[in-house]
Amino acid sequence: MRRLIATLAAVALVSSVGSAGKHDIKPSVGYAPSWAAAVEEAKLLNVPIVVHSHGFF
Amino acid sequence: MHRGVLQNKKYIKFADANTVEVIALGRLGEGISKKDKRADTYTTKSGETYLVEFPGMTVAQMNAVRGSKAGSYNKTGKIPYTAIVNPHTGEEITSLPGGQSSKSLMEAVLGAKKKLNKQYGASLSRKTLRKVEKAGREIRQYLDISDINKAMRTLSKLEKKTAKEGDALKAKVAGIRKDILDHATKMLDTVEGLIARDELKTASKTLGKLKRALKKTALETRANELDEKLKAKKAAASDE
Repeated sequence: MRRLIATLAAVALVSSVGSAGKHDIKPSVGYAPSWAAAVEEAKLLNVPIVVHSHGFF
Repeated sequence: MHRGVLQNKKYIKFADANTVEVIALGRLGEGISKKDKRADTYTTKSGETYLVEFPGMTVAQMNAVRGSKAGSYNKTGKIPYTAIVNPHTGEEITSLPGGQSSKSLMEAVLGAKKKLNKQYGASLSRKTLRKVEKAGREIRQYLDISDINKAMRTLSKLEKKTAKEGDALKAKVAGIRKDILDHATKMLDTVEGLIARDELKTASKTLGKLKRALKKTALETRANELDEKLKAKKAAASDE
């Protein structure tokens, strides 16, 4: 939820800097900002980490 | 870019309750330089560059995640690929090569979660975690103004609420208790200094509040000893 809020805040931030017209930011899952943060939070919650591998190739 | 899952309303809600989500994005620099729409960025006033497609993630964070262990699970050389990982061991519980529907991914996650629950106990809800974090912030504010009474009262409520939670959360709450007692120790040191300098009125005021707050804690004895010392000094001063 923290990351969900961060995501919503990011959407709001883009709006505040006037880029909302250029970028269509859609609601998304909240991502862990680092692997260490993901492990720490998932251990605490005792839930699995889902690693999505994507890319530009 | 897996939008059917990562931007799917049902999966967003599901993930908040059941997973920690990590994205390992390959060749992002290439995507940005080739102006791939999926690699669109925006820069905030503070100068950080975020990815439009991945709200809340900066380009630097994305590259760091890719270079971490998260980038090591996909050994197929192909994308997309999804790994469901045990956070306690780093072991891959389920390997899902190719595109996934949100439904199939949710089923796989629930299977993995069941295994974790069997092995490590019940999961903790983010709602409970948020409550602990909120109480922690509140306590830090009390410590900023050295109000140990309110800090201890908030901690006491928190400890009651989390009494039946798992060890990891209890350790977090224990950390908050330690922060309070560390702060209280410094305050007792200050009181000791005040007594030594015969600043008895100030010492009495601070110690009176501390004594009440530190009842049934590891610092209760020291607070009582200082109180005795203070009383003795006061008595000596009134005899003079």
